[in-house]
Amino acid sequence: MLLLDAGDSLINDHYPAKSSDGESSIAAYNFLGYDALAIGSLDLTLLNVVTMTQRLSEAEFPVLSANVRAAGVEDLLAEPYTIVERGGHQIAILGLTDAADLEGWTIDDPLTTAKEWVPVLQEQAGIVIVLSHAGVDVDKVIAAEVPGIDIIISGRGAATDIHTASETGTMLFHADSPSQHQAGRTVGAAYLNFDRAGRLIGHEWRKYILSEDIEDHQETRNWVIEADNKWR
Amino acid sequence: MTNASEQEGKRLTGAKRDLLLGLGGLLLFVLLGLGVIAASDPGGTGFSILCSGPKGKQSLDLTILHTNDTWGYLSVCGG
Repeated sequence: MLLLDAGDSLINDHYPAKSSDGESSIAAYNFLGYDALAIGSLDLTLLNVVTMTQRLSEAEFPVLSANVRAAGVEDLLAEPYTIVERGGHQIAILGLTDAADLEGWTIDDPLTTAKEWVPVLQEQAGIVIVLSHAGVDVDKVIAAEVPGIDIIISGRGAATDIHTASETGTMLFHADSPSQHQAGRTVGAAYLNFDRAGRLIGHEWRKYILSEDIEDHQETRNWVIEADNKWR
Repeated sequence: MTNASEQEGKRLTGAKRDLLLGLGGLLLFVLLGLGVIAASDPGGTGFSILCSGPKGKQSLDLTILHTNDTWGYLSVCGG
């Protein structure tokens, strides 16, 4: 299994993320065992370079973006990709951030970035996943124009659920469109079948909407209560 | 002389025939053997000799759970 987040999940207008500058969010994802997180432009809008660098150092999982740099800096802010192994298969996960004109940051075009990095990843892994906060409309273009991507996990923009690019066969999954006071309520679940060569041969996708009807996981609930007390 | 030459020619022709038959039999034996190996061990090394795909890899059932734009919210009801 992989647990992934497609960005804009560090901070916004609610506690404790707001009062902790996203520290509670990284701690929560460490607790939940996320395998990778992409950086979104909202994260960069509300957190400066020093704080973002601090958050990245606290993460026990890869925080990814192949197209973000601090202004005037040549090196990428974060790791561009990570390679994980599941069932004997090497899986590359590339991170993309939505293009935005933000003071203090330089963000390269995500489509151009994908075209540059996917061939590199194909040499290292049989399965390629793009974890993208570029926005579902941009992600559909990436799916159509960049061969070699098996799956795009998409963030930002209107919820699309599932999309397949006819040009390449790349599948795109998009779980949630948040609104004020309602975020983090939807989890997408992709059940995928790959053959021995790493070719996607079957899939099923559904989304789960979290609500009070779902019984709390007690350990997680206790963790959330402690986090709220710690950082509020 | 003629009879000896003819007999020699026939002997050589027969030898070639025997050689070809022997090689053909050997080839048939090898092919049958590979077929037996393949049929008896479809997921193993022997079968992979005949089939495409990375040696030793199995198919993969992968579940991806994914979230986006959670904004750091820890409560699904907001906050």
